[in-house]
Amino acid sequence: MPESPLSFRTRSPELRKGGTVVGVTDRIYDVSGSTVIFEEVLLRGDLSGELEYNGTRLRVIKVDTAIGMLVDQRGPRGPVWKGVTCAILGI
Amino acid sequence: MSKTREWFRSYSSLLKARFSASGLIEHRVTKGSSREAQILDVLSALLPLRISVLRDGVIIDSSDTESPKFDALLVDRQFWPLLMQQDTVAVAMLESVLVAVEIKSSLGSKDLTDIINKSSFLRTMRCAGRGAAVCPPVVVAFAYECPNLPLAFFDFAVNFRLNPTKSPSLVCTLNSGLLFLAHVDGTALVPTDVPTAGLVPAIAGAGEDSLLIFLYFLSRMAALGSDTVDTMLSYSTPVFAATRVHHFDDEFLNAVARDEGARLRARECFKRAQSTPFEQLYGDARSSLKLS
Repeated sequence: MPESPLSFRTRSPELRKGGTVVGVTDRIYDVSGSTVIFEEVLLRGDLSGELEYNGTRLRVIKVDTAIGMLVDQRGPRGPVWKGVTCAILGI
Repeated sequence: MSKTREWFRSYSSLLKARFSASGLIEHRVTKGSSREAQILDVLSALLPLRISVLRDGVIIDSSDTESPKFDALLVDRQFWPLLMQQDTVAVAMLESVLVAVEIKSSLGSKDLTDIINKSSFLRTMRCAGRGAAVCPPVVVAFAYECPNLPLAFFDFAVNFRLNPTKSPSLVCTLNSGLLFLAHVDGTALVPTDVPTAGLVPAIAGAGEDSLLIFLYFLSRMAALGSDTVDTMLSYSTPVFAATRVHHFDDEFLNAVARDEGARLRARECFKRAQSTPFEQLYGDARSSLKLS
């Protein structure tokens, strides 16, 4: 009977592309269904193409707002995308 | 052994002792209520305070569709109102529920079917807006005993393969093991809370550490996006690092999902007395389907 180790891998708000962090979500999202909407993504690199988020493959299909520099009660940061809709490609 | 592990084993022993003591109550409903209260008291004491443990909860959605009654609902009361509370019964908005919990004295086939049916109903209710966590919420179950854990796992795994998005996410049997869903990450399985097609149903024979792992899973499901719960993993590394799990291979699951006759033949193999090793039951089930 197949036996495997259990990995309680720490979940992360990081979006990765080819292993490199290209974005950070404002909180950790549970990803299920056909799409997920991230309220905010802090850009660290190129978010085009296939991305990986806590073991799930995603692709950005829509961005509501792109902001160069955002200043609010959480401090200054940018560039930031708001309302990022991603298609869930699979696990 | 870490103190955390010892404490949870003590909780497990206490629950087991109280379960036995409540067995002397002849009135079935009173006995059941007592047993529900025992585990819910532990959860209420230990889960993060942001989570309210509502006993005997009913969930409705915006179209007034009403769920079956669950033994407990884990609800975000910090930002979400209830719709009704009278004595011990509460009605919660679908979107406010983090986890729906069922509690069983014994996890027999009929009990697991009841859990699966309730989960199936809840997981198809319609969300009007964004939920506190995942919407529709996930369903978990806790049982004090299980007369045949291999058979329970077979039924859980087959049901998941047939109806993945409607499946319960986690079933814990005290001092025995956990049935849950995971995705494959290299050679390891990573537990996943939300039932989704493509996941692997798995069983962990965690024994006396089942309650500790159950509480971790519940805390994680209700963590509202925070990763602070993962710090808990450091508090009993031997448990979380050393747990190994078993699962059925795809060939077997496809065979039993595709054909009811095959499913019944395989199931017969798991009905045998629990003293037979799981691997042997599985081997016999594969042989009954003429799989190598």
